[in-house]
Amino acid sequence: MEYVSPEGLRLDGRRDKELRRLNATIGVLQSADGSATFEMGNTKVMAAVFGPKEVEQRSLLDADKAIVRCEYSMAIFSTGERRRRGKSDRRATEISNVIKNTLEQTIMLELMPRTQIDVYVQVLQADGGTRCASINAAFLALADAGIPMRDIVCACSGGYLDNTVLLDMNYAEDSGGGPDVVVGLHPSLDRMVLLQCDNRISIETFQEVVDLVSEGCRAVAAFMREALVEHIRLMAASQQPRG
Amino acid sequence: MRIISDAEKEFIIQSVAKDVRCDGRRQIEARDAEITCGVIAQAAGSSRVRIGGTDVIVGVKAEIGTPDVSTPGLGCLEFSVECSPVASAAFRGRGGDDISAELASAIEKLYCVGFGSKPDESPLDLSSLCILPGKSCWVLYVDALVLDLDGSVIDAISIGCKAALQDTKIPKVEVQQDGDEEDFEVDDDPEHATRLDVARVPLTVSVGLLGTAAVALDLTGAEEEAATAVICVSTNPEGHVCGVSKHRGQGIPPALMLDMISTATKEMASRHKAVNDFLMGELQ
Repeated sequence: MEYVSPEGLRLDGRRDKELRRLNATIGVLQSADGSATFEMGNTKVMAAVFGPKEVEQRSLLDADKAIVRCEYSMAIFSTGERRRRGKSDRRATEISNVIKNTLEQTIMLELMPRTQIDVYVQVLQADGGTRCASINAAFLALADAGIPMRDIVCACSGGYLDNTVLLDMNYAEDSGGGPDVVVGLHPSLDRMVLLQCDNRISIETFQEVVDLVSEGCRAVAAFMREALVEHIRLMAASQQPRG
Repeated sequence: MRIISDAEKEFIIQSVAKDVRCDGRRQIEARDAEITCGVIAQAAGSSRVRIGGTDVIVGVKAEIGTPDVSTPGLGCLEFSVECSPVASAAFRGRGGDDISAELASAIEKLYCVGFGSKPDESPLDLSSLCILPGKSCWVLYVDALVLDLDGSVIDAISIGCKAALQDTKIPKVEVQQDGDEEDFEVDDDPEHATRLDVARVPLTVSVGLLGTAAVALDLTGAEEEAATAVICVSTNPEGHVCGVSKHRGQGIPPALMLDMISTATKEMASRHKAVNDFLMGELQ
């Protein structure tokens, strides 16, 4: 199967270094303290934050900092094939831990000791890059909940197919058998908070892919910052006294 | 789900008794439902319904399967409900399983499928889903996902399922006779797909008793918590009662219960019309 045409076009018509179309909505749920949806192409993820609140399990209470609980779930209709899986799906547990770990490095936990912050991620449509979209959605939801963070946290994926380094792969490209690299970044602090790589890749190519994906992360961060500013602008406008 | 104080409970009960509810509605005024169809790209049909803060997405997948042994000439309908943790922290892990099972069971009853029901009595013509009697039929998997709660979840799911089934495109199937062998071919062209007739499908509405005498239609989350008892009434567009179930703690005097059911049925007529009109409009 050809993933990159001789003219340099991918399966969905993008160029090799092109991100999919991004879309974000902030404050989408009433019950949650903070919520957001994030779309990367056809991948659509909703995140909700509950907290900081009292720790439910006393044995987990930390006197020095907040604890983070995270759960990632995929809707039955989110994938092409109807996904009839149990809640103890290994992949979901792994991704939940990845998101939790990334957010623990981002949230200023020491400011909220003896509390718990719940972050729930619901995948509505899956087309590759769900863990990246999850982290991005979680960031926006945390911002919506007013939880203090060290920096923006953004995530993006990339790979290597048909001798080309590709940015932000969709499901078809993900399944292409090439390496799949995920990077999570704190752009202003210039720190990498998440790095995952599947499949064989040479060190030179790996460096190329990580560099490209980091660029992609920064583009995502810029987009999210703009989305947050716009959201606050709308909120401020709606609270202006009339007359 | 939500925790409210006794003072808040008292305030809500008194506000309903005075016919001015917390969101400004009158006792028998239902909230508007916001319906969007075709929200899930890879599903055969889908919808998203918002009633107040309650938010539900329903997706329908059509697959080819074998009909039930007892009903060889009918297709199959399978419902499932999932309560997402984004709606409440109580739904993380297996926390939402009990409520999800109860909601799925309630929806199954509306369509006369599930344990103890007669699918041939379904308001949906399941015979239109049959391909080869006794051998192949369409199986429609209707999956609802609850994203946010503000009372009347079952109402939102019932509208969502109806809208999603209306939105569903069933590929055209051509049955070929090859001597004694019967085979079929599925036509991929979306232009040739057929739709289901959902006009007769019932919808639910919740009606609650607050205090000893005040009755409110379409309860919000806080009102549900403050209610003494809640009745979920299912009615069809013809104004007939298709199902009743009572929830929550206290008993209701029979005369009052009949009153509540009849109020709900009367007020549902306008919602049925609005939903059917909207769905007809979507077809064009």
